[in-house]
Amino acid sequence: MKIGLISPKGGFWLRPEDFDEICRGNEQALKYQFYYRGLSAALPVIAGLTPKGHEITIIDENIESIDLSAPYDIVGITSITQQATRAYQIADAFRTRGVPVVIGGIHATMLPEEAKLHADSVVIGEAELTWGDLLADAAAKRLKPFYRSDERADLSQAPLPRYDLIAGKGYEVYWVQTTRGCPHDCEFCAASKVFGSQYRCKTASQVIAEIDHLRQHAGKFRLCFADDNFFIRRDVYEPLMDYLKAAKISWIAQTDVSLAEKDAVLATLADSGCVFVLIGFESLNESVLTGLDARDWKRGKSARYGEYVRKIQSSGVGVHASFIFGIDGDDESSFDRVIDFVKENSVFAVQAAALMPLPGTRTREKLMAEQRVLDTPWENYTTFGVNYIPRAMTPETLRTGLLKVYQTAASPEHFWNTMRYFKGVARERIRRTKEQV
Amino acid sequence: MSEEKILSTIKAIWIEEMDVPPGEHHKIRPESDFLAIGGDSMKFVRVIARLEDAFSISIDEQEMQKMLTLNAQAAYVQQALGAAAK
Repeated sequence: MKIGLISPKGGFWLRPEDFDEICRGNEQALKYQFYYRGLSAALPVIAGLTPKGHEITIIDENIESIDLSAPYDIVGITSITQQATRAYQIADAFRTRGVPVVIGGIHATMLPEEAKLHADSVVIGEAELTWGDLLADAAAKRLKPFYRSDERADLSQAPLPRYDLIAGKGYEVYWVQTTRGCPHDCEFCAASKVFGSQYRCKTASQVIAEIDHLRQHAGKFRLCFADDNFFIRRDVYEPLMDYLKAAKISWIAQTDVSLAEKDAVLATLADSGCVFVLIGFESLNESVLTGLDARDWKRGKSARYGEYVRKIQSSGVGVHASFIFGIDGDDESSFDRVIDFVKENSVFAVQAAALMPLPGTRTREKLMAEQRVLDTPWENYTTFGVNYIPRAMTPETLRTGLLKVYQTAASPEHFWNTMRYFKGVARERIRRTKEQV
Repeated sequence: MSEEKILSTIKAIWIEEMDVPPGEHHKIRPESDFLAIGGDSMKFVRVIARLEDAFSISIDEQEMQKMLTLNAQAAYVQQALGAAAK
């Protein structure tokens, strides 16, 4: 079969014009955003699950147009919530021509009935356990309306993602996944609902084979590890970091503040090519953090957030600190608190987001019950979009507050202050190296 | 120190920090912008720190902002060394 796999235009980090205005003149703010512009690993993974004998084309609408008249036997579309409306438009266009369409991804998993209105089939959950059956049914022209996997995939058995199918598209950054799952189970997180609270890992040799595959096809590139928390399995991340160091590949990853307690990792992190780590601090307000994750883990760590940032950054690796504003218990004072925190600790980069009532999350359930979810289109579900009524401020105040945080965090002044800080770190590292020699 | 020597020392630091393969060293030109040719901010501060160390000079953030090209870095180093000699 000829299979078209499509990622619709859009994304979680889409920026509005007023944000771009703030960043103008700050190359770095634009640069770190660039790290998130690659294609998610989902479609190369799906292509990797596809048995031999099919002809697969991957289309990323953020960088190329979709030929809606292409002679596909089946089209697969993946989307996050922000891309859902566009996903449905594309699906409708292909189905008008009689091409069967399958929709999957986090949004379709959370709202399968909505996705089914635009698709012949909906994949609910991870595709590893259902994709083969779905293709066989498609070949026999007997697609089922839903393909649901009740179990979660064993990642140690995951086939090689087909990065070769996207390597010619000119990406400078590729997304690679080593683990799925996160035990924090934060109330706003949709990924936890799909991937579960248990960590599941690929082996180090599997991930190295994936990166080798990329190196064969993609030339020079940087890596984004898509895991919720990269530094979980030492038997995975240690050999991987050794490999990345030898291969001289720059990379970033997501983690939590416990990284600051892993001295052995911090000692080798910068040398392994890590540029920065994204950490979800969520809030500096203890009452906001209470009940946010299943074990109040973040609340327990919050008093030491500044110390953790300083310790991680003193290893020569930046912290990209993610904060969510407008959670119940939060008020306008949070914006200034975060701004002060960012300045005091020379935080490398900041993501300030409005609380997002994503489908399937406890946050959305609660806000829906209180009739506080606004009737906004899915396209507005970016980190900048305000899609609900906060308790202690207006939606407009929340949005203005986000921009205020960026006016500091993305300002040239903060950037160069941060560069001065990291120059000091680099000098110290040179001094220590000389001492060792 | 000659201008040529300063330029070649800085270029060697760029090549090392950016891991430029031997066949591509010619792509680093005096007017090349560090960020535009594949450097990132962390590599940039490491270059600046190494310049400070290699030439025993000090570079503040005001100066760093103007030092994104090889030429600009060489000019600053030459000026700083000249000032120190006086």
